[in-house]
Amino acid sequence: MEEIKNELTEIFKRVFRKENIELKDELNANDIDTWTSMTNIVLLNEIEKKYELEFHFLEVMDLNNVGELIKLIDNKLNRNS
Amino acid sequence: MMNRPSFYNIFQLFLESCKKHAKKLAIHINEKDSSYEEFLLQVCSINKSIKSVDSKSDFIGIYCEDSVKTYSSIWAILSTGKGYFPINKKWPTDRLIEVIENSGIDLIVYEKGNEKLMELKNHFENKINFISTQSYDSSTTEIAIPVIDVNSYAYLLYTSGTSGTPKGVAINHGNLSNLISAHLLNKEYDLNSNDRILQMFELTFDFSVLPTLFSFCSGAQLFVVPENKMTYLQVLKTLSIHKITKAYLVPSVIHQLGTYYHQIHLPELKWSFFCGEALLNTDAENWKKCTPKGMIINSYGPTEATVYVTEFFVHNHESTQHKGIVALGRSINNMGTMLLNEKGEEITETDIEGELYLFGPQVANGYWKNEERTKECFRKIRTENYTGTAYKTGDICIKDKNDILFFVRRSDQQIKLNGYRIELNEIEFHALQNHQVKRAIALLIPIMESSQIVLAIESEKENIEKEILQYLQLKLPPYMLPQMIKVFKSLPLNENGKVDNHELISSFKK
Repeated sequence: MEEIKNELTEIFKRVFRKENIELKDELNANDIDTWTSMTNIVLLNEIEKKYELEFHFLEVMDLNNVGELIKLIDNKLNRNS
Repeated sequence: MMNRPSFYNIFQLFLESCKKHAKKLAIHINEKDSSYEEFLLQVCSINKSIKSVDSKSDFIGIYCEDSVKTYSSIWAILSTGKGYFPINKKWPTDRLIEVIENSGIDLIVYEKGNEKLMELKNHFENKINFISTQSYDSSTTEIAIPVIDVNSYAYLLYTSGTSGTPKGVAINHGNLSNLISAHLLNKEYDLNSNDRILQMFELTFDFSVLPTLFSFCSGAQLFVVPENKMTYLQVLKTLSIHKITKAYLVPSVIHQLGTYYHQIHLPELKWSFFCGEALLNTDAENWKKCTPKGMIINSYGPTEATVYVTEFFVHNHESTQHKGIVALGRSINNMGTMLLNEKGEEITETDIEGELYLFGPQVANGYWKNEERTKECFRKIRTENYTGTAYKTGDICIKDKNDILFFVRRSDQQIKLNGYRIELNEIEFHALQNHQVKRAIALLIPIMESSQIVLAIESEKENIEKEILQYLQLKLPPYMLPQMIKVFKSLPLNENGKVDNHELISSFKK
């Protein structure tokens, strides 16, 4: 999980164009001004590319924060291996 | 084409529907259900509170909150014969004060309120009454149908204005009646009590009129999409969980759902009705595959002409696009469209570009208490086919041989972003209020598969981006704020000495 968090930090910095982002489990779209519905699409696409996985819309529509996003990625990676 | 339109008292249609469908679900919002009976009780209770205050204004304000009371307040206001004026809590206080002052209202209803409402209360102390809808009097469902005519007001909405001041559009019951006959009572749309209807819009966006007013009049069930930054995902969730049968959508929502097209299957959806911005042909085709039994309808119209004035039923066999954008279609019942050239002459040949003018019973009388802007946009025209007032849209269009309209481009700096109408000049106007700013240019540019507003500033002073953004946040609603601001010592110029937009755009993409 820590590894995913570090990798995600790099993706977040790139997608949201912020130099300093510290990923905490509680972090959500309301905390980052550039995290909009449009950049959310880019974020999810970048994650799918990085981990070679595909999200279903039912999985991502109820994500409330970064902690839940990390858990989802971790679950999907473990299911695939 | 120009028959005298029928007149409808929308509150009467609402009341008949409430009585006929008393036990049925009227609205689902915030995980809570209200039946028509319960909803009508709320309307009656709020009607009583409003009547206890002797309001003299044409409109009554509603401080919009994410709750059923906001919706019952709309009907309670209409029940008094006055128009409703939605107030958006996401707008900055300065902008709200400006539009409230312009509206001339003397009463605002709210439910719980928040800090921003307190600021408004303090600012308008002694001038405007504020009444809360929280206390509840369920003693009566007796309510009279208001006496109204074509000139009585139905609602007041504000749109972005080029000179920094939003423009008010007051729609009366004459305007609304035509939309009722063209949409609510139109068999093609067949709105009925078996329908589950999607409501995804802020009430300050005029497209919201279709689901919020018409769903209740047809005995249907209205499902309000929860407020959330990820609107597109919430829309998809509501569509699938509540098995929506008829959906009003802005094209950017289905565009944003692009990655999930192959996963989406919505067999219950009978039609998707689009409005607010250009519908891409590829999105329409892909959406069709997600909704196998669903029709796709594109529509077009400015707030000034009561939601929409042209419609197009997308069929696969017709050539229906111009440069990848789905046709706007033909004008609806009683409404007229006309293309004029730069000399003000009507263009009758096909496929020739001209500015679109609209006329007919849905066109408003002008901007609310704003003669100057009214003169600019509501023009007296005289051509072979029509003499009278017409609304100048600023949209450059063409008509084909079947009289179908196609959008080509804007004639000015207005853009559409996620359905919102935005004057880029308005952003520039506010940026220029900072004395360090010599020039300001707002642009809509494609960044990372989406479109964003950016702002280029010419200034001697470095690092004033934050200062400018903070000022803009005080003046503009969130959807109008630039996603990036860049300061230049001098803006890049092309060989003609004009600002080089291409150079500017590429500097933002770096």
